[in-house]
Amino acid sequence: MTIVAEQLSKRFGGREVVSNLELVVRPGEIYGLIGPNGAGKTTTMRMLIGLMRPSSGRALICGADTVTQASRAKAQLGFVSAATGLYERLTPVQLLGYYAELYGLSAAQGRQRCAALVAEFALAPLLQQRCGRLSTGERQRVSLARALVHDPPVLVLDEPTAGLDVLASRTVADTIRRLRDQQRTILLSTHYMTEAELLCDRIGLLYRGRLVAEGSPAAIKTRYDASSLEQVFLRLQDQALALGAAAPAGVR
Amino acid sequence: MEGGRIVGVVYRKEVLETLRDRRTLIVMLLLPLTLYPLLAFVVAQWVGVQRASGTRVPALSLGWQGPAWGELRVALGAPRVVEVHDPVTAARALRAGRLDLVLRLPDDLRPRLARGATVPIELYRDDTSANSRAAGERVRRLLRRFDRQQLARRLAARGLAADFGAPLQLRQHDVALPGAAGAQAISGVLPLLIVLMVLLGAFYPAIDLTAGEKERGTLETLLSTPAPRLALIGGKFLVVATVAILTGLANLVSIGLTLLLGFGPALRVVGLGAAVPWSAVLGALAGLVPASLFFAAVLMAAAALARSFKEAQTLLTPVYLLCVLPTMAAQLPGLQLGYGAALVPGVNVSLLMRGLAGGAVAAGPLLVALLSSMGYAAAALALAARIYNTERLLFADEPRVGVAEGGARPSRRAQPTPSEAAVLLLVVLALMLLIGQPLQLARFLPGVLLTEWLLVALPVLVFVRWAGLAPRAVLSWRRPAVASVVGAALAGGSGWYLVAVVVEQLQQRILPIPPELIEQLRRTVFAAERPLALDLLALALSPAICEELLFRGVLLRASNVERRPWLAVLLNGLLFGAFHLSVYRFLPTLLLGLILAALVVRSGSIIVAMVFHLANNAATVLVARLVPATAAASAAELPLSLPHLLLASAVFGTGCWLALRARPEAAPGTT
Ligand SMILES: Nc1ncnc2c1ncn2[C@@H]1O[C@H](COP(=O)(O)OP(=O)(O)OP(=O)(O)O)[C@@H](O)[C@H]1O
Ligand SMILES: [Mg+2]
Repeated sequence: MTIVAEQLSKRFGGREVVSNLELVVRPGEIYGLIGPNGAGKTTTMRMLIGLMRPSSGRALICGADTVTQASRAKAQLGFVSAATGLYERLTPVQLLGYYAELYGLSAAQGRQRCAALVAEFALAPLLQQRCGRLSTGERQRVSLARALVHDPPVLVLDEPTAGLDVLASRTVADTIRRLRDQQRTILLSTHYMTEAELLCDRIGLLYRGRLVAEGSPAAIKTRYDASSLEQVFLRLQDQALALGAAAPAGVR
Repeated sequence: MEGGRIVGVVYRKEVLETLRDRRTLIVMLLLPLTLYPLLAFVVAQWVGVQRASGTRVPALSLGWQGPAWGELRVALGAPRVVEVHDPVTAARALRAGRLDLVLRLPDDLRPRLARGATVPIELYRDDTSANSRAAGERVRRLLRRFDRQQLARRLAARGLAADFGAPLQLRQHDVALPGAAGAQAISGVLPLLIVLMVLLGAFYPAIDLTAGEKERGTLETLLSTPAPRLALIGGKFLVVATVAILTGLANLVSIGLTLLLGFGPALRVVGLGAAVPWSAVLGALAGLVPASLFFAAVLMAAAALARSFKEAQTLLTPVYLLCVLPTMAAQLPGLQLGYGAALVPGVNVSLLMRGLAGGAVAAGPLLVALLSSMGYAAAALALAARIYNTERLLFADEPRVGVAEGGARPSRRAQPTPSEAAVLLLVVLALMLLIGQPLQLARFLPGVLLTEWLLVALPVLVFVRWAGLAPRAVLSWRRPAVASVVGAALAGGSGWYLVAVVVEQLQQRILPIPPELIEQLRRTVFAAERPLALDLLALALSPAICEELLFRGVLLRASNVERRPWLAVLLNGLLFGAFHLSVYRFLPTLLLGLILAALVVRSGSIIVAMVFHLANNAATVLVARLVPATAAASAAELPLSLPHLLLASAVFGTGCWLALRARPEAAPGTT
């Protein structure tokens, strides 16, 4: 099992944002976390990649605990989020080279990986540009390449298609599928239900820090007797309201 | 060790990025390299003006009570005299500023003098008025001279030698080396200056490498790598410290160069000579490293607290001031580097510099100061690393920079930003002051040629290339209408006469050019031994092309000329006037700049301005050559003949009309 969360919880002050989350992502699958704003997707991912300490429970990447064996865990994963920026004054190759060095690749290995990634992500036309001049779609391609510089078996992508146009998000989705086909394990979050439906092998529906539904898109739709994931999503919200819960966190 | 390797990796990358940051480069190199030459230059000019105006006696309004005896009046510089009848009126007039001084003389002034008696003179002044004080000073001096003359006359009448009345003759000799006083003054402020500059240099990188990285959303990915946080902070800290050290070095080098190269001598001429205060420079150099390490660490720790660039700036401003305070305190006279002071952060490094400059620091306190400042730096760094481990400060907000700021790649721009243009102007100024001026002092004509082409035109072209600008649009490089060119040639060729008889007459009223300067100009600029063609090339053609590229090209386009053309023209004229770095040439060059800018705005083509500039300069050179008696520098002495004036005005008017009438077919530069 490549990504595992065991009784993972996070509290900010007194507020529990992620509660006793049990999650397993299997090798070579694309797992999608969906849920309303403020459901705790980003917080969960940050704990999984060792950027935040869990309040309780633990997270494992390829068997390495993200707190006690942080550097082993981090060496196994690549991370991209919609908020990820690039070093505006570096060129894509300089950026890739920097991360290769940070991940401890030798100079030769680094050059080789860079060349491979430039080819894989069609970065050749952008090589002379500084990152500050790239468009959003081009940035996202560079970011994905950057996350893959050390050839990690696990990828964590927080809203990788946010803000992209149709064409660019399709490119990113194709890339994600290709990465899965290279036997990488991918955990992603998204607000686009159709995208989640088309792209993910399994989906976890996160609601106020709890996993309320999990399974393949088809299975979830069948269970909720809905024609689309979007319907499922809306129906779940209604249910929560009907159960007397206050408005979901983040719905303002 | 892994940590050490990461420090190196981060260091290399951050240095590369920092060297590509314009703000940092400006503070680190450009500011120091322009600041001191410019300061020295302004001071030299200012003192020169003071000198020149000092020789001119300002009018003195003198109240007079008693006989207005001619000989005494002449001795007092024949001032305007007002009769005052009683001390009360006198006092009132003085306090109201209507009179500068009032003299009261006895009625029997002349008989008393003739009989060899003493004449009591009463002088009323108002010491709260600067005018009155200055006038009093002068009148006392003149009276003293008059007094000596009278004494000499009396001695002669009695057959005594003139020096009979002067038993002692005091001659004074100052053995201080020339410039030592200036050097002393400079070494006093050097530590403060260097600390200020080091802080200034570290300011932006400290923010950029910490809060800036948070704001741009690169910190998260950086922290998702296995690199240890302390190593990341360490690498960043070393970069900030390096920039701080380089800033300090650039300042020291610039101060040294300014004093050594051009302006030491220039300042000395006006009596402000400063030798290079070597011991102070060495002291500052030695203290530079500990000071930079300490201040860089403090600024970084503070900046790490902020989550955005803006927040960091707000936060760091008081920290900056807090850092300056101990440095100011260390300026207090009598304060020395003892064991106590060596433990006070900030104070210790400044005292260290001061002490090393004086050459007298005990080894004990020196070591303590070094160690304690390193200790404080390490503590500040540890704090910064802790902050990097605080989730609250790391992730409290998530600006989505990548999404908000994307967009299509910009195509080549037709307009540089004002700040880009300012940088270009500063670079050119720095080059001119540091290289051009000394070159021209050494060999005038080759100096001018090199200055124009290599220090003005070349930077402009490099800039256009580097900033990714569309050259034709930015430089207004378009084919002009034939009428504009003809008009510009006519106006440029006749304008010099109007300038000579009108503007320079005016100039002579407001700010007369000192005769030495005119003489010097005549000798260097309009030397008759050179081939005329060479003079025309260096003094007419080259400025017409190179200076136009800078002023009517890049600078004009950067000043939003489309939106507010007349403001842009005004600004352009002012800059052009100031650029010539001489108070005496300001007025004529301002006018020239205004006309040239207006020509480009109206015609849409820089070539029209070039033609005008060429015609104007060529005419000046030719007149100076062909009518040597009226070398242009003293053109004010030209006879103001009405027919000539009318003719020149007519030609100038026609030329301007022709040149300004032709409108560009399309708005320039908006392609
Ligand atoms: N560093 C922090 N300190 C305090 N509260 C936080 C912090 N980070 C997140 N939160 C809170 O935790 C909750 C979950 O936030 P999180 O960002 O994980 O949601 P999300 O599912 O990713 O939402 P979105 O879809 O908007 O990205 C929110 O209510 C947020 O305010
Ligand atoms: Mg989120």
